[in-house]
Amino acid sequence: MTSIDIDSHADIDSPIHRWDPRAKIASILILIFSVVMVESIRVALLGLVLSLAVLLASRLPLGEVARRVRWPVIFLLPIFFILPFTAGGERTVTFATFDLSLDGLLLGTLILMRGLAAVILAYPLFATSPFNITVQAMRGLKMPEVTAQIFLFTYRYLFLLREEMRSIEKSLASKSFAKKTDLRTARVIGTALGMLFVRSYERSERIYRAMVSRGYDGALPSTVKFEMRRGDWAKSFAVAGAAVILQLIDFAATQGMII
Amino acid sequence: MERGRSVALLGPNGAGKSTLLLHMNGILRGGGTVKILGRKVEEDNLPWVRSRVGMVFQDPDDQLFMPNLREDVAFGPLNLGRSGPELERDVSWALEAVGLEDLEGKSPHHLSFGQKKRAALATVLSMRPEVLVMDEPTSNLDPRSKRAVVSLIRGLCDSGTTIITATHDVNIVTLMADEILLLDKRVVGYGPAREVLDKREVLDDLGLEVPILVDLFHSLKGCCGHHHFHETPITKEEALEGLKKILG
Repeated sequence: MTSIDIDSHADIDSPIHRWDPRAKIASILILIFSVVMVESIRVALLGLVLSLAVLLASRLPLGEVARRVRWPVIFLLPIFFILPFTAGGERTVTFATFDLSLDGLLLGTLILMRGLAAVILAYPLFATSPFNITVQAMRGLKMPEVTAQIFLFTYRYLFLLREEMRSIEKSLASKSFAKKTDLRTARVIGTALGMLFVRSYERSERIYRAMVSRGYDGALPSTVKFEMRRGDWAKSFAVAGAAVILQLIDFAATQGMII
Repeated sequence: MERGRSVALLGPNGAGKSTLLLHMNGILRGGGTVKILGRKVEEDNLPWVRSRVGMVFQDPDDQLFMPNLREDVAFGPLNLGRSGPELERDVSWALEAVGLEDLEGKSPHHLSFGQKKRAALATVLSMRPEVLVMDEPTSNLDPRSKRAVVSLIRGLCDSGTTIITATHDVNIVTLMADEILLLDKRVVGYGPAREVLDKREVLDDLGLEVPILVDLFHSLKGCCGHHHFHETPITKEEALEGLKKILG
């Protein structure tokens, strides 16, 4: 499995995989929004637990998800480490010569947990159906036709772009080109990327011709049909319900009604 | 050209083969006129033209744009308004014709080049075109896949499909085409495959390869005289006959 192959585990059998993709997308999106909006750190922890539960239910290989989650988390970590120094506030601890802000630390933890929960949820959301089914489902949820087609074609041609970039790299390497941190490297890479853009542009024209040749007139025909069953409704109510309850608890917690 | 015939376009790189092909279903339109099945290709009848003329592009990655093979093969027929059992029948037939029925759920980036090339052909076959236009359908294929494509083309032609193929592969031209059009920015020659391939000087002038059998028998003519055969053999069977005559 490569990093852009997001649907390589779409054939696993799990409650999330069997869920009607439209309901799955809508419900998990609601849960993601709910999780990223919580203000209380304890409720955020609950949100994180909820998202882990959804991930476990999807039976996706955890090691692989962990490897992939790593990258967005790396982007979140600076916030976690910087906020204690910059947030100020009344509660501080002195550590060596620094005044560390407890509020900053808490805020950093909150942001980290919300982010982590959202990123984890992205996997049951996108990795449990073949990508084209996901896009068809989004179409079913009234996503504009043009956006749907952009998603589909981007996913299809991402692989080709990667192959073309690799072949450019191989060709550079076989001409004894080695990457360094100098101007020449920047120039060569720049030219290679420019080449890739031109190639992609020309390819898009050829693809368009091939599509028009086969009767394309702006709409992508689809044979995919979705059907909501009782189980689909149940799962949707459970997940969307959890999202609503999370918000209610959070409201209560921030208003000081519960600890 | 006549209906139900198979014509090969031969010409050097940049001769305009692909450009000519793109005129066949109105993707490109120039000053002249193109007639398909007796009707002029015009803005108004482009959908009609494209439902009759199937176009297979040279690079299969341009042709395969749907997420999986079956959807790609169904794309054309769906655009033509086919559905239900009729659609299923056409899609399955096209996949079987190119021998890819087991891979229908695969996405294009999981197919080998030879498979992609055949898949591209299937996406057009499923539309059941009356005229099949192909840009180098055998280029970069291994010998077995090449033979499979050639016999498929022959079979389609025998069942009444008109076929136009741009190719560089002079040695298989005789297996798949009845007639040859020589092109170098203009029509240099047109006629039965046998006659065109026999014109060595013309082929040389265009920088094209002379088929290996023609080359061999031209050399034999040089050393043994040409009283053994009045036509240069272009197929293996004819060549065998010719050699038997020479050897007595």
